[in-house]
Amino acid sequence: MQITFTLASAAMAAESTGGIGALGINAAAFLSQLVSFLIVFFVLGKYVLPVVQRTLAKRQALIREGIENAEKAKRDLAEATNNAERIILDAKRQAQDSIERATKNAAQVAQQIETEARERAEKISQQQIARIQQEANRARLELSRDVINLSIDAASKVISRSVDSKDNRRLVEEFVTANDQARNN
Amino acid sequence: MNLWKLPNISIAPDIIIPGTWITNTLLCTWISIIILLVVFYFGIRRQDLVPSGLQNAIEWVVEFLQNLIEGVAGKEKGKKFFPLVATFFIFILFCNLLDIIPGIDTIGTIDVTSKSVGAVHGPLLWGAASNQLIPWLRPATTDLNLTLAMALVSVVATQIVSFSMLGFKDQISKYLNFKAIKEKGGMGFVDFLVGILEIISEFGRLISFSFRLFGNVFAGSVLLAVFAYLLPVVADIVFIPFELFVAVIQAFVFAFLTLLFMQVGTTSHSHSDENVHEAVHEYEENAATAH
Repeated sequence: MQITFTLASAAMAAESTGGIGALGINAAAFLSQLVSFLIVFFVLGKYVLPVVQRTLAKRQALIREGIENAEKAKRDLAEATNNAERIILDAKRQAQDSIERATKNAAQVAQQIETEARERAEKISQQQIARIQQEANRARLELSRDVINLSIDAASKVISRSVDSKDNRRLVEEFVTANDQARNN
Repeated sequence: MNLWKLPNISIAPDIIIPGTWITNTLLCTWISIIILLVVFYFGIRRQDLVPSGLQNAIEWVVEFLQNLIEGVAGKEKGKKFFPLVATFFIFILFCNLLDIIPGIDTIGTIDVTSKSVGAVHGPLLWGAASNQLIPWLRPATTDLNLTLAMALVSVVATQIVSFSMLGFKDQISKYLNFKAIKEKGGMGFVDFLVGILEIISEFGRLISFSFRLFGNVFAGSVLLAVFAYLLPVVADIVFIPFELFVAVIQAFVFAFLTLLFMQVGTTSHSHSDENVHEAVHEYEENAATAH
């Protein structure tokens, strides 16, 4: 309180002296303003500005991190795209190889099947021919037998006697066989 | 009888509480401080990662100042200079901006010592009483005590920073260059005189800092008052935006010059950059002619 009154009286004294006092400059007012400014400086410098700066730094770090992440993601994406392209290319090449291999195999299998079919057809054809020949032989034998029987019947009617004797029969059979061979040759 | 009179212009602030030293400018300083702290409290209390409104504005100002200071002084020195330079800018800006708030400089008590004042009826002043007002509030920067105090802080802080960064020997040789006389003889005397001129310029800086800010803001205040007398309401529509501009510019000039002087002050005498000196002088001249 004592200081207050001293400062106030100093202010009055300064004002009354004129000169610098006419500009309003006096010790009390000057000190008051100086202290007021120093208080503002202390509060802003100590408590306010660092808080704002910290927030700014935090946001700056966050943005920087975001940009770095985005760049990393971009790089990863490019790398993944490259990988995908490479994989697709490999897959296409493999598919092409597989198709070529399959085509080749299919051709081989087809050829094999064809060969087998031909062989089989040939075999069947030969079998059929053999069977036909067998059937023909049998038919020829039956026909010969029939011819023999008919000849014997005819001969027996002609000569009016029985030709059941073994000699006659053998003669006829030899005759027929000889005829067959002659025909076959 | 005139409807109203040209305002009474007084450079010295008025004591508004008789028996104390509390002037209308000092009261305005305290109000500015309270407004500043309230604005900053509401601006920084949330610290959202995505700022908006007041927080955005405060962060924009702080970031602008931070980039400016680091751009001029570098990262390392910038960190040391930032609190003072930023405080100058923000505090002066708040003090200057109070100039355009209605009621400042226009609400007060009648000077009862004046004989010409007759009876006053109602809240409005007419005739002889209209220029006998002692305003309760007057912009803080229209008080030389404040501008001088800030100039003193600026100059002293520059010296403290210079001494701490350059060392006593290097810093004192800027002002008392006996070494030059010893080494160069007659020509060294010129260097010594330059050092003496540096001491004078330090005091000159004190005056230029304080009177520039005071002069500009006080002139603005007077301009508003006079035009309110000449062309009420209409003139202020033009001059208030202009005063807003001046308020920002003067805050910036004061803060930026402090920054430049600190930067020059912390540059070694042997490595002083003449370009920086030139830039400072150029800037001072521009600032002086700005208003």
